[in-house]
Amino acid sequence: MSLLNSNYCVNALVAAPSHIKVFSASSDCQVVVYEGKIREKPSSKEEARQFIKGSWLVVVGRTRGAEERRWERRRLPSHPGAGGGGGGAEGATEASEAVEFFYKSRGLYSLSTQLEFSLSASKLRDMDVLSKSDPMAVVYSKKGDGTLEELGRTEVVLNQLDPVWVGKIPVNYHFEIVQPLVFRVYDVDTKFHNVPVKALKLGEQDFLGEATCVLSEIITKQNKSLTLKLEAAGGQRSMQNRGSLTIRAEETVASKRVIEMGLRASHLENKDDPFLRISKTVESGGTIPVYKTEVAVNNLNPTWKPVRLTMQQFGSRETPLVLECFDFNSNGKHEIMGVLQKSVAELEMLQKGRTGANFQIPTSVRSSQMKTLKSQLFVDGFLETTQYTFLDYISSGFELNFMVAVDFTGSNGDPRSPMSLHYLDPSGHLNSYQKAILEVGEIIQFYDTDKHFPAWGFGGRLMNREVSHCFNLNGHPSDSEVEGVNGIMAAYSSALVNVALAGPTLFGQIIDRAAQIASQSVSNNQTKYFILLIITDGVITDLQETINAIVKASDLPLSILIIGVGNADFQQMEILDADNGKRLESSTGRVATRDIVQFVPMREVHSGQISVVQSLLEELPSQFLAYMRCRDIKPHFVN
Amino acid sequence: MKSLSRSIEITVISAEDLSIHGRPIKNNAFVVVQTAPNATRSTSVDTTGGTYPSWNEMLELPLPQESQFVRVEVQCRTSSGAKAVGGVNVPVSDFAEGWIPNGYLTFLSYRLRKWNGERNGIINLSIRVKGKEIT
Repeated sequence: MSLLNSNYCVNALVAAPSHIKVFSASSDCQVVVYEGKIREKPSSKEEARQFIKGSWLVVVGRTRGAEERRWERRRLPSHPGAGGGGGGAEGATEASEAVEFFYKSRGLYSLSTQLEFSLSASKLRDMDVLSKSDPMAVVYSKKGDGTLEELGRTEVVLNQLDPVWVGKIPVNYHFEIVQPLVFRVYDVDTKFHNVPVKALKLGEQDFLGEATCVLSEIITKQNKSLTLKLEAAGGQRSMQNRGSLTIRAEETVASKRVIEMGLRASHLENKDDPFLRISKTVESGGTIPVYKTEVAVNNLNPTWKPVRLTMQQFGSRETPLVLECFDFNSNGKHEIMGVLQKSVAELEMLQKGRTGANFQIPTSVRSSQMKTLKSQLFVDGFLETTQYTFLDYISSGFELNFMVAVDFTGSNGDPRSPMSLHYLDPSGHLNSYQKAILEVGEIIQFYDTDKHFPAWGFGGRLMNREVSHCFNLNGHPSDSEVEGVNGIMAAYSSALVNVALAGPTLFGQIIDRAAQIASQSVSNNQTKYFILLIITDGVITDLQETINAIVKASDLPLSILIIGVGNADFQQMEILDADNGKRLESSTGRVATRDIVQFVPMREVHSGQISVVQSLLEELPSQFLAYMRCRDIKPHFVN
Repeated sequence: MKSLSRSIEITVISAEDLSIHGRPIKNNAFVVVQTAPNATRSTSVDTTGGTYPSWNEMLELPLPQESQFVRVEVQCRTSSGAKAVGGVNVPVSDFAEGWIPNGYLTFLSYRLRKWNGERNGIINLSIRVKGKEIT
């Protein structure tokens, strides 16, 4: 099934269009440029996955009509295969695969990351009479409803109380969700030793102990390694020592190597608008296009912009790459000007020897005979680098620091009325503000070691009768920090008693305050990245003031998440969230360095089964990486 | 008494969507940076980027105490001499004052304006202030 037939369309959205000359090379590919958006209809799924290139990319999956486009776009990437009811499932998987490929091909962390667990244990209980235990470990993920799903098992290690299992267990890491895990260790009875591990009935084995944690606890540790005490079933503490289990996580991404090279051609013949297409040959035969250069207009000795290929794109250093030079034709029927085949290693040789490689061309359309041309390809620069992942930074001591700001404007409604967005239900049912704090907080807290979170309110009237656009939720005159997510919840409840709702809705001071904290941290060290969560019910009174504050903060290690609660019109917020590719511009003419705002309305949480918070958090790792990479900040590896 | 001897390292990274008389420029854009009447530097001419030129060129200029802004101007070399494309006054406060830590590399982008105030493209820069405060 082609990507097109399955009703998916890959929209490449060029936000900082340094590669404005985007085009399509194969004749059966269509490109439409509209308002800076390049819409492309790939001829096949493979083509679609491979082609994607540009400064920014948005993939839109249209399973259920245009009205759900926006939601689909955000939902699909985080949940491969989550079809969302009725027929969409297969297509959704395809689209998310394409998205995943895109991120991988660009070396960006996003979506899920493949991890592998290596397990070891020490001081296990000895269950066997004549020898020692024969342990095996089983890993489960705990679902929202408390049920366990098995992720994998290790092999059985014979006669060992301190086993180091060799078998690796694959796990998908998602930044945007909490992933609880359960580990169980069993002593496998001797009579089952000929039974394949997967076929073992766990009920028939002796239970040695279990341990639980969430995945982010493991990956935020140095070396991504965590040791847990084994306990009795159901986590009951017992006096008996059941030993401990060590879990070590590794990223399975084959490699983080990236090749950058300058390509140039000379003496091209006849045609005049050349561009290069690079394809990787695959084992099954055939080629997959992985890169296209821009078109060099009217130039038969062109130098193209540096080509950047990740290992996912070029395979290995020895994989033959097919480099084809085409003459660009606006009707999409690009004519071949020459072909040659070289591996990355051979291309590097060309650069070292400063020699050119001759293009060839088929003598006729049907013939496989090749004629060697006078035109040549040169490699001017060759650079092999390592691209660090989000987990590289996190596991080497980088932190995400969480900050919260809550809307205290009058439009929320009197907190004493059950109709109010700020109503604190005595039955314990959470209001939208509490839900938002809890859902975002419980994910980010693991990435913040001291768990001291600054918490503010805005648009409220304080005891001194003054309206403040940035006050401490805990009521403290100078210290805005509270302890843990529970601390935020408590400070929020107490503020509702002490602060009267007022207005107008201004974000400027809150964003300035957050930016100030972020910049203070920068002057101390560079290992912190800040996340400001603003929860609001409505329309910003002064949009330009907010934009100015965002633009000013756009160069700091800061991302701003905005959750809209209630039923107001949040159109303005979409402007702040520069997902449409328009960079924010302040009233003084400064343009945002990068997109740091994510907005999502809370009501979407009820319309789909996937939490609003996930779609909000999805882009965080790539915003984090964009900041670190443009400054060339590297993870602090222990060795 | 405080005196300040400082300079800036300004990297002119790239510009986007430049035009002259409503027509996208072809090639040959360059950038002139001025921090004081007697302190002017310019980049080389971009010959490949067309409407989206990139230079990635670092210029070092003194930044006198009294300078309130850095003038950045994009021009285009033509057969009839250099033509102005658009410019911007980058406030010193955007990269050297307020919250910005000492020696921080700021990445800045600005909307360019023609002499008549019309919008024309965006320029991307990075600036780092060098030099110490002597008291």
